[in-house]
Amino acid sequence: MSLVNLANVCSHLQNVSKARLSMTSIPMTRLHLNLALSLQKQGFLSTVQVAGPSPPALPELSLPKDSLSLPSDLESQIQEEPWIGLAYNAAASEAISQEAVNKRRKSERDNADVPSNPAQRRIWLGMKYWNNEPVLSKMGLVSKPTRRIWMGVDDIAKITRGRRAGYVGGLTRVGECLFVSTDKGVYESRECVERTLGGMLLCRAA
Amino acid sequence: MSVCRPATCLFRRNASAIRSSSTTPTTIRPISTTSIRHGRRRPNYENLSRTELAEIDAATKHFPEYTPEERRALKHHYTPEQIAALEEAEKAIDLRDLVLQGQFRHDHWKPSYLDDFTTLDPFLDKKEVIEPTLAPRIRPVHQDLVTDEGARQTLEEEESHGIDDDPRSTDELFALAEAEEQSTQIRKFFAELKRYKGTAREHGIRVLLRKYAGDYEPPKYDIDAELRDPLTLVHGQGKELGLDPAYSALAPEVPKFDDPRIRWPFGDDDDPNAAGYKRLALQTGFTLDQIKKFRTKRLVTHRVVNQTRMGKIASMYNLTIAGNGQGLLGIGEGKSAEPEDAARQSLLNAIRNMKPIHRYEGRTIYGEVDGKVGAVQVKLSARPPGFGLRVHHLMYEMCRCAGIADLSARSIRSRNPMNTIKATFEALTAQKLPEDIARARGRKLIDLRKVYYAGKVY
Repeated sequence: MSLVNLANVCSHLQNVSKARLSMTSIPMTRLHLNLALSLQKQGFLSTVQVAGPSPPALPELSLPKDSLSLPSDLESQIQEEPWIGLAYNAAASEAISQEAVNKRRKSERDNADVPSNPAQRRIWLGMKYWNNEPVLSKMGLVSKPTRRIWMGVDDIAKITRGRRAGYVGGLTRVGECLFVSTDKGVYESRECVERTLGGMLLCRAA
Repeated sequence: MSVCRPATCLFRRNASAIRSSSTTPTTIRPISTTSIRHGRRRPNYENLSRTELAEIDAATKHFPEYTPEERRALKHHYTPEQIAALEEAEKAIDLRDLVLQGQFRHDHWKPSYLDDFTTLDPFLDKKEVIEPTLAPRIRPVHQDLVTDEGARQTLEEEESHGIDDDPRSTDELFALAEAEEQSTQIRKFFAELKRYKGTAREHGIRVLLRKYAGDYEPPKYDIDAELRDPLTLVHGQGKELGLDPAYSALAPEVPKFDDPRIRWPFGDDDDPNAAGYKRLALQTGFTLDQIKKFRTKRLVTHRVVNQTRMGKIASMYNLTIAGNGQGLLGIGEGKSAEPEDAARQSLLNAIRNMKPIHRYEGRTIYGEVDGKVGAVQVKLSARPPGFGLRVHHLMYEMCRCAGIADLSARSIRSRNPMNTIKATFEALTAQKLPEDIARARGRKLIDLRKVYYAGKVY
């Protein structure tokens, strides 16, 4: 459970957000995976996928051949009556989605994207942006590699209410989250209060 | 209620209701989410003393009846049945209820149209567009008008008019009109008209011909658009694409000022102060009275000296803030050799730069925000009601202008007055609303205070 790597992940995600990238990868560890899933649950990330050194295959977007018979003069027809394009679009997306779903199911069954060598596995995260702003803009460690901080529910509840507890400041910013590693998994501080769980404070995100 | 609900739950509910007079809360967990009321039930109607009733009755006198003029005006807008319905509806509302319960909403979801629409609010309303009346009158000409008499009438009518912005020459118009028209009779009529070329009647003829040749349309191909639009440079054949603003990669152009008085100062006003206010009123859409009512304060004044080879050139620098005390705040800078001029510039700029600032419950800010300008770093924190303004004195003035009553602030590092003001303004405008964050994360947000107090909160 290396917090050095976690610190690296926090800085990396901040940098990725600043660069407005849509996807990035972090080293595969159980802690990272649990944290990523927790971040996704809070709405900071759009996707979390385990794959190899190259990004996982995206759903098929190109139109499979012979799936749709398009009339030869479709282009000129669309010029005159643009709305007929909608019908073709719907049909095409249906065909694409069916094809893509089948392919996806097969690849999931085979675990085709995940390399058998664990050292090559990476977690691929989809970043989110809204209104020209990154959804995850700030992320930093609370526990440090040289000084880990454990807290009980009472103190975590205090922090979620915006008060300071020990050396940890409260969640005073709008929409700020604190992630806690408990014996039941990685949870957001408010979830911890709900479930009366204490644990090690990992990082805060906003 | 579901039939499947076990009967025991129902009995328990009743049992707890019976024991409701006792102060000890029931230990049985109710199945329903509706809380069981313990203790004495409050009456549905408030107990009012006679003096209170008299006060309320006096307040109901503020709702006047329709005057006869108003009734007459109503008749223009509504049918008699509608007026009767309106009167019945108004009669149905007890004036006492109107006094006791009629209140303005202050919550976040309140409709944005509090007013009675008689005045324009520059922040909420679109600016009124007044159609220009200079455009020449254009009437459709029917075939039967082109008899000699009718044509002469049209010519005489149009001659009195006078504006012609068609760049085509009269010969071109004749050629176009003849190409458009097949009837030989009318062609002969055109040939007759040619003798008026170069006379005083030419204008009228041009107007007549334009109705056959069609109105002048400027060429669709816009060289400027092509040069400005990078799309056309990438795709050689994308000229049409480039011309269509929907496909342009550029932001839409800043609208031009319709009113020349906005750009150039009034010639007839000697007093620069009054002229400045008038221009400001035109630019912002606020009335002069509203502008005069804004709370303004000059916070920074100093002399700046520029050393050149000609010698030292001194000028004054001023920084002023302005606000309406209800969530609008602006800062403005003014620099000039003349002190009064600099002060005036900064004041006008401050009013011009006013921006809305989010206020939680109309008294403090949302959460904690940071601002940084130069070496100044400020951190503003929301505080509970009654906390007051425990902030730097310049921030205090800004909060007073913006209408913030509870706030605390830390300015770590430098405390340069000018940059402190700018950093505070940056922090106040950088606030994020919880609704926006919930929307960005795709999560549902419920304001529990609203649920608890039945929506009667800010």
